Order: sequence, then C-alpha cells, then structure tokens
Amino acid sequence: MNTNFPQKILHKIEEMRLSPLPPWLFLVKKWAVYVLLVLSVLLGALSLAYSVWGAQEAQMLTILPEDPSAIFFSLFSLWGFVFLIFVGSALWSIENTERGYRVPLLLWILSNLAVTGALALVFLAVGIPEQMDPLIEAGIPPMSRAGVSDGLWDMPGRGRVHGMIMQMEPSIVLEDPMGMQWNVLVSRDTRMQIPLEEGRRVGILGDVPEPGEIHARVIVPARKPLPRQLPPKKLQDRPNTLNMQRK
Amino acid sequence: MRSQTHIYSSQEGFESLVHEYTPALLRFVQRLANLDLPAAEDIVQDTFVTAWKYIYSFDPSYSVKAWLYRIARQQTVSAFRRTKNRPTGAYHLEGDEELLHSIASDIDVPSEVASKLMLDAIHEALGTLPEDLRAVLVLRFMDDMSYDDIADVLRKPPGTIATLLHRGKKQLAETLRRHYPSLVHEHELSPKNPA
Repeated sequence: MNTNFPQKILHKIEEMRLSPLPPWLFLVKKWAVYVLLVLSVLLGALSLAYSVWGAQEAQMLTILPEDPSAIFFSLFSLWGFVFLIFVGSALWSIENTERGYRVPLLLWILSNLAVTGALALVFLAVGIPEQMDPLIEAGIPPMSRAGVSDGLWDMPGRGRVHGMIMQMEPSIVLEDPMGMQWNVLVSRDTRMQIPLEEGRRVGILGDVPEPGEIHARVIVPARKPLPRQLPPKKLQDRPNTLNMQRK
Repeated sequence: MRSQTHIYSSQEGFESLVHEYTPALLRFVQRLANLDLPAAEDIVQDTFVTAWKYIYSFDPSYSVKAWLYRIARQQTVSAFRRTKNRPTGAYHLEGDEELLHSIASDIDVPSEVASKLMLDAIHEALGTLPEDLRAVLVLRFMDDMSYDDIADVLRKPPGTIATLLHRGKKQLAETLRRHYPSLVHEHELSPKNPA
C-alpha cells in the first residue's frame, strides 16, 4: 500500500467539501422505526380484536363447521390488511434498527404476532371493538361488523340467509336486506332453537332448493342491527310479493 | 436514544480512523473481490467518503471495525454491479499463505497436501464461491473476526453466519474435489466440524 494513501483519502474528502449528514436525520430515522413498530403492533391488535369480535357477533362459529373457508372472509378482511402493513414495517425495521437484523425474521414475526395477539385479548376484554364499530362502519363499511355479518350470512348459494321475520303464520317468511322474501321450512326441533317472532332478525343455515325457499337446519339470532334497519312492517301493509308461500 | 456525536465524528477522530483501518480494508476488499491494488484503493476511498457522510449514523457502542467493513463490502458489491463483473482473478497478498493454511486445516486437508500448490488451488476455489460465502470465509479466517462482528458486517443473525460458514467450507471442499482431484483424495476433503 502506498503509505500516502490514507492522506490521499482525507485530501479527497476535503476536496469534495463533503459534510456529514446532520445527526438529527439519523435520530428521526431511528425514532421512525420504533414508532412504526409500536403502531404496527397497536393497529394490528386493534384490528385483530375487532375482527374476532366481528366474527363472534356474526355467529361465525355456527358457520365454520359447515364452511371452514368462512374464516378467511372475516379474519382477513381488516386484519389481513393490517397484517400486511405490519409485516412490511417489520421487514423494513429489521434493516433499519441498530441490531434488528440479528434476530431471525421468523422470530421477529412470531414475537410481534404474540404481542399483537396478547394486546388484542386485552382490547377484547375491555370492550374496545364496540367503541370502534361506529368509526369502522362510517369509514370502511364492508369491513365493519355489519359488513362482515352481511357478507357471511348473505350467501344463499352456500345455504346462508339472513334477515327479518316478516310473518310467522301460516308459514315463516323472512325478508333479506335486499328485500327478497324467503319461505322458511323449519322442523319442530329447529324451531325450538331460539324463540321466533315477527320482527326478529335471524340468520338461517340450511339448504336452498330454489331461490326464495330455505330448509332451515340452524337458526341463530342476528345480533347485529342490520344496516338498513327498518321498523318491522305488518305483512298486510305490504304488497304481497311472496309467491312461494306454503299452504 | 443515544447521542450520535462521538469521537469519530470529529476531524481528528476520523483521520485516526482512516489511518488505522485503511490497510485492513484494502486487504479485505482485495480478498473479497480479487482486485488489484488500484481498483481496491478506489473502493476503499469510496468507503471512507461514505463513512464520513454517514458518520453520525454510527453508534459508538458497536464495533467501528464491523461498521467500516460493512460499508466496504457494500461498496465492493456496488462496484461489481456497476461494472457487471464478477471477480475472477487471484491476487496473492502478503501473509495469505498462513491464512490459507488455516482454511486448509479447517476443511481437513492433511498437512502433507497443504502445499503451495494446494494453497493456490484454495485461493482459486475461494474466488469461485458466491459473494456471501466468500465474505464469511474471508472475514472469519483472513480477518479473524468473531461471529458477532461478522453478523454486524453482513447484517445477518449470528446463527445464519454459522450456517454460511459451514456451507462455505463445504462448498470450498467440493470445489477443490471437483477441480483439483489430483491434489487430494476425495475422502480427505470434508469440512471438519459444522461451524
């Protein structure tokens, strides 16, 4: 090595009139990483708590045994988006924290998920999701509790219908949120599952032999107030659009 | 949050850094990229220019050596990308023989075959390894760095460094077996211990 080489380097730096980037820039960057990490865990926990709560409210456990894929609809609506943001921020953070890269990626993700999950349980216990509901409903309706419930139960192709009981006698008639009327065939056992009465909102799981008719196997109360919640109308006040009523 | 001002952010501190680490960085870059001295000097100069620019990003509680080596490695890889050249030469440095002996002994080459010819072959084989494996071997055997320091240079977990080291030695042994079958019997070349 040329013994003057170190001097040459210093001379070059002087010649370039190069100044170090200001210290505050690096402080801001470091803080940004930690803020992002905290935010991702916090938002992740909020969205997970809300998704779990929404799924409970939408009677997800009733649906899952018959249609396991339903879990994707609920959990991966809001939670999925936040999770992607979380993973992205975790990856970015690994590269930018002082020694974050020393922790294997999988450990990063798992530990953050564990913290997120624990925090979500706390949020659920103190009832944060209920308080979030109006905000989500106003901001991103399809991901709200009502949106998830609508999406989960408005699937006649998979034997799921929900709406309001419009008539009990001579047969049960249900009107779904789109205004379609369903003739509900129900066995004595099924009928005993919950008290049924006009004006009650229910979700029905069963077989749909043709549009407008459902053979109910399970009837559950629809806990959520439907978005287009209307006061119950008397059937006789309405034009009779039902042409599939059973005698 | 720790203050970002430190001894190396002063002009005198940085000058001492340049004087202290230039020879080591030159050797590292030459070994990593099989470059001749002028090309290595360009990279080391860029390394210190970058180090000065980002001097406040350095946290003095960590090893300044690892920090400088990391920048030097980044500069070397960038230089490869700019020129789209992969290092192929084999510039022998003073003192390499002793260091290559340590690699030879670690991949279980018997002392009688660890001749000058064998060391040349190891040097050549080292040049054919992927950059990350070569970097791990060079840092461990030629720069005598700890796993923790290598982890800081390569920005990987120490466990991954151990894996890379093991894989590097294994691949080096396989390359030697494939390209220099006459130098050593197949059974004699195997990584001694998993790292």
